[in-house]
Amino acid sequence: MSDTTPDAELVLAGEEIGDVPRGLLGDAWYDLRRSVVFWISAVLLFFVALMVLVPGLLADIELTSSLTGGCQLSDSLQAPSAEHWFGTDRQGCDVYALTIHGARPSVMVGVLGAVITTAIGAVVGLVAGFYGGWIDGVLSRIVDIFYGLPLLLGGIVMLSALSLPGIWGVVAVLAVLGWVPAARLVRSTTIEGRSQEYTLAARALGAGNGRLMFRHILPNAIGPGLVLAVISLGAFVAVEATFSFLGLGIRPPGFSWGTMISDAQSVFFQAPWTLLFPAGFLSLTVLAFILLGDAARDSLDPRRQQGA
Amino acid sequence: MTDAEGPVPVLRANGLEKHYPITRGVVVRRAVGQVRAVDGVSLVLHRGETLAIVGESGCGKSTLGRLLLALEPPTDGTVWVTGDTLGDLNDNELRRKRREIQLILQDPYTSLNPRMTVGAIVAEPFAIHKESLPGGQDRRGAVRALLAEVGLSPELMNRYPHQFSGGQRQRIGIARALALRPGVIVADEPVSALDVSVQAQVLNLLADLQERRGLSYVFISHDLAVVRQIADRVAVMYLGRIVETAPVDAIYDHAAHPYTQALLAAVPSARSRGEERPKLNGDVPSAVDPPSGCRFRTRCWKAQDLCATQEPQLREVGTLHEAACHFPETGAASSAARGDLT
Repeated sequence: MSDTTPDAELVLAGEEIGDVPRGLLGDAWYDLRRSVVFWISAVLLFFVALMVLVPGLLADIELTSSLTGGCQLSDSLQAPSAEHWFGTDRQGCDVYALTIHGARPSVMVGVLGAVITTAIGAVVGLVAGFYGGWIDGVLSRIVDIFYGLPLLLGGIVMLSALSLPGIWGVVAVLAVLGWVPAARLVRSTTIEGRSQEYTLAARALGAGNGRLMFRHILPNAIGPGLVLAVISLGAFVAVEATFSFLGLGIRPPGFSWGTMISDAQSVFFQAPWTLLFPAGFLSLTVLAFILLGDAARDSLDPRRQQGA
Repeated sequence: MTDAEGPVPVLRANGLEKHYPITRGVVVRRAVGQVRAVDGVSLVLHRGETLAIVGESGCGKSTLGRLLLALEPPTDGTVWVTGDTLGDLNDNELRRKRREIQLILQDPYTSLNPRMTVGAIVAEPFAIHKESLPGGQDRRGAVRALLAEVGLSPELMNRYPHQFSGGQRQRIGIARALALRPGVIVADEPVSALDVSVQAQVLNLLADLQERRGLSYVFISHDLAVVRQIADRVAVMYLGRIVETAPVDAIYDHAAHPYTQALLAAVPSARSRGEERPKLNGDVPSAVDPPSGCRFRTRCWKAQDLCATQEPQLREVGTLHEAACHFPETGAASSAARGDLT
């Protein structure tokens, strides 16, 4: 027999394998480009990014404060007009300028919260799931305890006791109370990954724990982890709004979509625009992140059928 | 299959046992029983030989494979691989020892990491054992050579596993197992997930590689037709024990143990149509609480009182042919006797 097996030519021809090779990200991008959902969320997030990064381009910061003379009480509660696109609030401040400049604290809370909770959850979940035994027992009980603490109630207690400035109080609450879903997700995907045959094969090759965790188990948890992170990012933006609404998050003179919604409640029937614009922007931002998470889940799964 | 000086053993298992505790309670765990997955298995594998381990699912054959690879610690017993007892090695020595015994897995869809390219998968052995790269070759060159050896185009290195068919993926798994140039390969149902036509190709590849590289295989399978093609010797497992071991022809021509006969009778074949065949009734009893005496007696048509009280040991019934049965069929009588067993 020759140096290769009889059917080698068949495989060498490689015809049934088809299109060009692409990496994981290349593959995901190839898929994403064809996803309508992705493009909707991308357009929305582009505007969110503009508001967060360069709000000054879109609206004058001076229009948001009485101190700079931007707000005139005489302009209080004016309906949307050519001068005030989104109308004015009770202080006579421009709602458009407030909404644009209020995006940064809201989105910052979401991004920081998502990054921190995912990191904590990934470490706890990976260690618990990989080592199992008593380590898992201890960590899982801790997870159960934190799972039992309601985010809002625990947050109200924490924020009343602590006084961290601006968004940091809310971020601290999320870091302490918000990592449980990520830990549970990563733990279960780790347990699944640990018993996968490719992990077994790597162990048979002599791979150490670090290689098993970071080359074989964690990369396969990235898809669901990323989706959870993006979706919780949206949820955390709403949490910031909730705490600010309750007067516990961002406090004057700071403002965010949450404080705007809070301020609007008493004048909603006279001036619904004071509520509708910040609430609408909040909803669209949350929606954009959730849509992105959804689109990313589909395209990051290497086991999916090729879409094209 | 033998060298000039006679068969050279490369792998030996002695009295291997693996018992999994069954536990109750969440906070305070206590053992309420044991699953005796592998319960006293001894075997020898010689250089260049293929030893098939056959049995129904749940008989402990896959667990046995993992014990041979030291992927799980045995409850009792030892595994010896070319000069070393695995249980005596420290972590570093065991890692180096793994170069000598490798693994091929059943499911080509789950045995390759979907996040790694084929090149990275086949190169991983060299990343773990940096010293094992063949002289004068870089990692990439070594991977190309391995892919070519298993009949895949080296151009496919940058693809991901999901872009391949089942048979191609199994070839990738074989290339990974070959990378460290092991002498022994434990193949756990390597072809049972594949189409029959692809099965034959992969079996041929395994046979070629054995010849070219002087490999020894432990070939775990439930498929007796496949085993007959590739095995030199067969060990039949039932409920964690080896009940019969013999050269492949002896097993197929005159099996001595009733369980082996029943397994063979269950293989569909044109020749045996209409013939009365021994049939296995019922399921495999639980490995938590195996029957007393002979474990097979609950499903055996020859069982007598003796079988319930005394456990039969492996005894010689022919040349290199051992069976653990109080009433084994001997010699050519078995095939004739098969007719009146129901």
